[in-house]
Amino acid sequence: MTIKRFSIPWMLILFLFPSVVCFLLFKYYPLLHMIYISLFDYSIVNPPGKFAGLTNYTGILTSATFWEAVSNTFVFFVLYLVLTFWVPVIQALLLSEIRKGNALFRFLYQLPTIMPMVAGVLIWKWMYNPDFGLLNYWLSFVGLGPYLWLNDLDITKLAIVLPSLFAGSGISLLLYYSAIRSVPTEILEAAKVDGAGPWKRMWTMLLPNIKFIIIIQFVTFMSGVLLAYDNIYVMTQGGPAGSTTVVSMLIVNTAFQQSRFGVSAAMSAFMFLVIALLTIIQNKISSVKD
Amino acid sequence: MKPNRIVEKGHRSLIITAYVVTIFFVVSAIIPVLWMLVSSLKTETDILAYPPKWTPSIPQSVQVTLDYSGVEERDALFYEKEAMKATWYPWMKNLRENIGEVKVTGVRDGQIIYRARTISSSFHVGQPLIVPSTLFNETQMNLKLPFIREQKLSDFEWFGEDGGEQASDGLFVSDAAISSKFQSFYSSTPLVEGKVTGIEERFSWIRMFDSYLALNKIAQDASGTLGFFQYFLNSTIVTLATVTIQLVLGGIAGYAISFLIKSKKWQFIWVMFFLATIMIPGISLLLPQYLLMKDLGLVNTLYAIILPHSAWGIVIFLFKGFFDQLPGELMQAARVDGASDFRIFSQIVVPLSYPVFTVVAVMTFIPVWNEFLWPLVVNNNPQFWTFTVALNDLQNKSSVQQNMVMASSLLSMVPLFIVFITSQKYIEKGVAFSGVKG
Repeated sequence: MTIKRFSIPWMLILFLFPSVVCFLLFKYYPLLHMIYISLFDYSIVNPPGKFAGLTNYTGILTSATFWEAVSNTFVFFVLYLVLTFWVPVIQALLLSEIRKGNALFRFLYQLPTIMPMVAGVLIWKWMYNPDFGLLNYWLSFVGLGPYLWLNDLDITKLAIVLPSLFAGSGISLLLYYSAIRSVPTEILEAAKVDGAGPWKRMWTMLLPNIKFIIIIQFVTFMSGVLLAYDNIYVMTQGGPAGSTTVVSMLIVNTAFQQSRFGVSAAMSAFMFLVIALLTIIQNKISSVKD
Repeated sequence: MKPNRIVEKGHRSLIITAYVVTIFFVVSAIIPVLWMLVSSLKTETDILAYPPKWTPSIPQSVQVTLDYSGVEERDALFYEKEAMKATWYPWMKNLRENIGEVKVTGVRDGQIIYRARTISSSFHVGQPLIVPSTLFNETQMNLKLPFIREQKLSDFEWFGEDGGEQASDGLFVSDAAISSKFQSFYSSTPLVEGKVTGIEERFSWIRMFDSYLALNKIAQDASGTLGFFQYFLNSTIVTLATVTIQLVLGGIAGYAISFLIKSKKWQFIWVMFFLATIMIPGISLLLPQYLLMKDLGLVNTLYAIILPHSAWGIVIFLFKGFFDQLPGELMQAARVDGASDFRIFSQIVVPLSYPVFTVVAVMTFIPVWNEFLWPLVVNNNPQFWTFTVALNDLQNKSSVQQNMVMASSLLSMVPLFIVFITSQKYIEKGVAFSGVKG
């Protein structure tokens, strides 16, 4: 008598249930709620308020503030790209050539990563101090300045990006470095036999071998720049004259300062779409490689 | 390695470039950290010095002796006021001097009748309230004395008219910079009845750390008796709770997907259910999560900061990926022997998966400790602030000087530094293993 008993997989339910509840409650429900809010002229006192259809979405597309924030974000993107993105690649390539003190340098490179971003920004803010700061003092030796680093419309964005040039490479440096170390030594030896010098080997063998990681990191980098908030907020709070207000900051300000929840939610949805797109692209690239 | 092997052409230039560039970047990253350390040890005077100095100067301890021989006897209150006037007024007058502490000793007929001591952290915290201007008079001190007592800004010890110990002989008024300024203040302003018989100053390097004490006093006003440690404690609770939740929930969910679901299709669906959430940026969920916490009545609690961290898609993904590599036969054998899933998980899977647990713990610790925006939004009660929020608040306070801001920044690094030193290899492993930014 073989009766296949159907048993409820209690263990499976017990083990998955807590996580499922947490993800539904803290990710999926808020996501749906955000989209719901974006369809209303949302009132927090008497939710959900007046139904607004898509007017919040069309509203942001015609809002000058929004497009200014988009353009600020874009300028930041270009600045980060030009000033910081390539730095860890170079650092990792050169670090892999170093034998003596390699572990020490790797340790020192990661040291700034462990500083809370807020603390790191505060140090730079102090160095940017126009009257007593270190930077203006040093620049005065070469006849430059004094600059109002954080109050000058022309250079404030630069002042926000600059710290990342020196202290922003920890994790990506490690990624590139471990990718370089995993390049098989045989192909390097072969290139050496073929007469490729060390510089040539670096550019033509090592760099192409980590191209894939660079592309993946580039997508991560893009979402990182889009979502940058903490360092800008602590450094300038979006000023002067809104010149460093990026989209993420506009989302927060619209909701928590101006109480225009519907509009903020519509911008959040916009941000979600962009980031989701970037993540999907990243996954596509990863799976191509696999 | 052979000592005189042939050096390849271009090898030397590459090595030199490598060292120069690496050292340049490492030094540029470390200079700000050193500058923070130096700044945190500076006094209020030094911090505003131009040109900026790399060596903090050592503060002076000023010791004033007032002689009451021949002055009619009064009560303790009178002497306390005397001591406070002799401390706070000349200090305020010489705000720009590098004073670390002021000690006032009252003497009558060679016996010490009181001692008072005020350190610079107390002075700088109390100064806006106690001596807001250089208008000094009797009624001012009558008004302010209760505040000095309440906030314990100055220590005062009264030995009675009979006196305590013998006062030291050989008192003199030093002609060093601060002493002579104090002397000219006492002689030009008839506020103190005792006769100034001695003013001395000496270096007191321990007062270099007063920015840390001042920080704590300011924090006590906002967050309660624990002062700055309250923020420290909050951050620690939030971070450890998050790490625990992720290890437990992520571990069992990873186990369930990896071992309890047989069909590959369902495994994929469950992984996607969790992993898909990494597409949702935190900033988009800020408002709905805030409203959720408000509905749950958790705004202004530590739960509000911790709970959303229980849903990190990447954690379950990492666990599942690691568990998939474990030898299935082991689990099978245990199951045949009749072990329950709890036992298999806790006695076979966990001990074998030590690396992944460590990696997840470290990769969670750092971002959660550093998190800023969510704790800022969901908490406005200083009692529940985390370190980063408190740091940001501090820099916006007008009474706070940069030496205190730098001191607090330095403190915020300490726990991460410890975690980092002990787990650097796991961070490197984690990076290699997930390719995901923490």
